[in-house]
Amino acid sequence: MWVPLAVSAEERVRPEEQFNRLQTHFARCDNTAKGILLTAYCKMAVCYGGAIATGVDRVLATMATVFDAELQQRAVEYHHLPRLSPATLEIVLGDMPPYATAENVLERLDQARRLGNKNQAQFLPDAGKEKGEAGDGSNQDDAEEGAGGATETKAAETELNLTGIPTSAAPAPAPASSAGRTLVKVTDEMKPKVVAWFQAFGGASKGVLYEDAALQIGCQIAITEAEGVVNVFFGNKTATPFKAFRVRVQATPQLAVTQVDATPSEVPPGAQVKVAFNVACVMVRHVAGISVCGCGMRVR
Amino acid sequence: MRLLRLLQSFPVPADTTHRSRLNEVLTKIITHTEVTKSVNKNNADHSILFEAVNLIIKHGNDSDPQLRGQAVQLLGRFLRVKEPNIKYLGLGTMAALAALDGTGPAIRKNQQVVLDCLKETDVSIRLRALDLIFAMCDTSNAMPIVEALLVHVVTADYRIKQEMMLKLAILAERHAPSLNWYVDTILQMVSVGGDDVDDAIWHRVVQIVTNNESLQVYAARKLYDALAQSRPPPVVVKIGAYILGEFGVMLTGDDGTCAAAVGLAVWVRR
Repeated sequence: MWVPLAVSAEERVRPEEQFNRLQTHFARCDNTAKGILLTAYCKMAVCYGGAIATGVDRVLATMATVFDAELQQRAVEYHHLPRLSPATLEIVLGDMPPYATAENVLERLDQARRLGNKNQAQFLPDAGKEKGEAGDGSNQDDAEEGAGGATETKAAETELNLTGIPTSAAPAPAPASSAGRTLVKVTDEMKPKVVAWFQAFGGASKGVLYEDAALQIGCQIAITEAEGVVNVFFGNKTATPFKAFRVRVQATPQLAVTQVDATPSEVPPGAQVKVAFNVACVMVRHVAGISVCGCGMRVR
Repeated sequence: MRLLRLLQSFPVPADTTHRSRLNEVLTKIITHTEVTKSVNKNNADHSILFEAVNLIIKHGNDSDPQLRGQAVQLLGRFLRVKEPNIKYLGLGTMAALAALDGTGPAIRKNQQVVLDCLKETDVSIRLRALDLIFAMCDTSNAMPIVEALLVHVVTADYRIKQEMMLKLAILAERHAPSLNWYVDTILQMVSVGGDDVDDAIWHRVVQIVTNNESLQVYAARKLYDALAQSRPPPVVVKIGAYILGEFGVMLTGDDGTCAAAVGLAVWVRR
């Protein structure tokens, strides 16, 4: 519930003044703004009652006959709100809870614009080595993309978090430690990157799942109807081979997963190995999900 | 040029002799290229030069820091050239260089020149300049940059306005010295933004105000004042309606809980 905060005498505004000020702009607003105004009015009516409630009722009655169907429906519904129990009203028109998502809509929009129709998946079987050879235009794009990416990372370090929500909650599809050998660890500063890869991957047929100084994991998917092939690529970016390399994939009730051939036991330095899986959707009407749940590998 | 491009496909040479040879060559290319009067010579020189800088960018933070510094310095000179093509390439390449470690201070020396590029007639140059400004902005120069962008937003044409406001909103949020300043800045921006303000911007403002109790009274009063003008932009009405609907009660100075109970009873009894 609302906690009264100190408001200085000269800052005070009476409810009627607030309502009247909003109402002066009502007539020439677009329908979206009118909808928001109606919601605000109802909150005011519940909060102050009296003359304001009467005024709000008058507006709602007028709007209940407007041409725009959506606005009309909103007005009619709001008009009938007082007939509900006070408890329900309290829920419907109570204070909005703080936003629980840490996602910044602006950053997302900016990122989406920057990527545009550009190839979102950076991953290619020869990760990072292909782009330079492409035609003239692509270099410029590379440079641009590079700049953008790094800005994001820098931002993650210094950014003020105005929402007050911790920026975590990553659906990290990343390798975890295995049997006490913590090798590739998803640190907090990595999380935004992992989220970004994951989002870029959504809807694409190939993309990066995880990348750090030592390891890159990419994924390529080809699906026909209910069946398909998922190729997961593991790249060793270090100068030492990955020994005792294992991959564990967890099937979900919706998705059957079978590995095509044996996982190579070693990833040589600078090389990339492909692990192919056949997948089949066995349950309809569910979003099929696959998760690479742990890649136990010892870097020696 | 093709060789330089080919080199971009390879990582930084591990061998120190190869590496120093490469650095030597790159330094030579970067320090010995000048803008001349012959257009053809310029084109040839610059294609080599930009490939050299692209190679440095490709090598990322493994490249020689001194080389990066020289590249920034050189591109800084290019930004001051009148020829639009060179300027365009200079801006784009510098934005890519801004992503590398240690280039920040050198790039920020060109801040005023880049801001001046926002006045260019060519919109593609203006967009590039905006990208670079966004990339070069950090806590040290955020204030002047935000202020400059607020001035530009007023006159910016529709092709760049939305982009500029989006970047401005992100920068204002990222580098806000205080929450009140953030609200002031965004309000100032949307007031001149007209109909071009993206919905995401006001959604974000509402999100931030809702999640910061200490900001709510200030924001409500600010919006109430902003609505005093006779024809506020639609987006100001939207933010105002939302904020006053949610937090207007704080401005009344009464005990809101009590008023709510009374109001509820009155509205329900009708």
